Amino acid sequence: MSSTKRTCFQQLDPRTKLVWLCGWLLVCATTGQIGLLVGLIAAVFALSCLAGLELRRYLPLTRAWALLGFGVLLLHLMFTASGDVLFSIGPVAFYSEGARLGATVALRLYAILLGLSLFAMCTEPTELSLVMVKAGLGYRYAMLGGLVLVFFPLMEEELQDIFSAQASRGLELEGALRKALAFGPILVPFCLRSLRRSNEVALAMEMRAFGLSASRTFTREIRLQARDYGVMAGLASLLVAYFLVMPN
Amino acid sequence: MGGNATKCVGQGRSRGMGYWRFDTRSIVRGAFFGLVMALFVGVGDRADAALSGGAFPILGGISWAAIMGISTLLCRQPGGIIAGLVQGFVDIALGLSPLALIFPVVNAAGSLAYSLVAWKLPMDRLSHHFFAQTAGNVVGNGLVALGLFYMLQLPVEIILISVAVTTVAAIVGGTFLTRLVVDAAERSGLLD
Repeated sequence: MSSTKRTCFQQLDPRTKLVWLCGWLLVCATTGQIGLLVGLIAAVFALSCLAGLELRRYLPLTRAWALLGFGVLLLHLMFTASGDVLFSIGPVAFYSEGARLGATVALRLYAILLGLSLFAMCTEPTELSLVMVKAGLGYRYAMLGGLVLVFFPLMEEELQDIFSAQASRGLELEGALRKALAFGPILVPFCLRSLRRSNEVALAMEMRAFGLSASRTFTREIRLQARDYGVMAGLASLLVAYFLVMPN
Repeated sequence: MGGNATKCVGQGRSRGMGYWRFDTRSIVRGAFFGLVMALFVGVGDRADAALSGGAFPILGGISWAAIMGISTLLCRQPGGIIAGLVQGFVDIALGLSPLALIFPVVNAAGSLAYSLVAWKLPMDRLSHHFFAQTAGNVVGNGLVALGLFYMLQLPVEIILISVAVTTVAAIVGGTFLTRLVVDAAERSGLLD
């Protein structure tokens, strides 16, 4: 998820990045202007280049969005009956307002997804854990982010193993419907293996006295620096300008 | 720590659940079930995309309902909420769904509604699982409907049809799958 290279963007305090993300989501959610949304999308790509991220990392997300964005556009075209008639197929007419609304929603979704992905790629889970601890959340809960990140690929592999094992026992898994009908034989071993693994991890943690003291120290500290205050002030000014100047 | 370790032994039964369980085992279990949910709902969503283009997320809904129920029964609270939050944040981090932004809230609320019913029932009959699933699904899918309305700005009729079909399928499918997995987990001895 997060990139290993540490460019100036990655070096910002995670709280600064969180402020950026909140502002980003606020603007994406409130604007109805296609031009601004396109600009925001371009800004994510520019920021990604600045952060040293390869743009092809957005490909899976873009593919997933393209399918859904097309569906949303089609639904709005079919069900929004206002504005000028763009074209019609038989008795069904497609209106300009539907096209505008569909394009706005589809672009808004893309901008939101890109912003979330950029944040995830530029922020290490340990940093987020530290933010949560600073915010007052108990470290027993805050450390779960790191745990999830470590075990996600292992669990993914485990699910694949279960699919392979059941297929080798003759369970039909070719095609979406057959896979769906095999939910039971897949879900039961997957849940039981997860239970066993979680028991082992919890036992190992408790053996190391995890949870013994109410507070703990960390090898790494997060501290807001001058550049973080500068970036946050810049972001706040941009937000104020957006709400004052931009007509919505 | 010693207290936590002692507490978690013998509290692993899913029947006649208490509401809260704060030991390390149930918290870690919640995180693992969050991963199970993220991966398994992904399988369901891909199947839905192949079957209906994602217009009716029936299989994704069934997977979600089943694992929401399983995690709530096996981890109690806040383990069930943790499972939901983990799934939501994994989806956000991987950009798996445009509605991912609301998933943490949807999952947590669904799990809370489920455990409110499961808390009051002994959960030893299929009908008990059905009632708990109904509560979790009505709350969870209701919030998804709000998300579809505000984020995708879809027409209300389409949202109602899609959400109603998904909710009914998820309640039925989730009831049977939850019972199946919880029974298997109890027989396995992994809850001791």
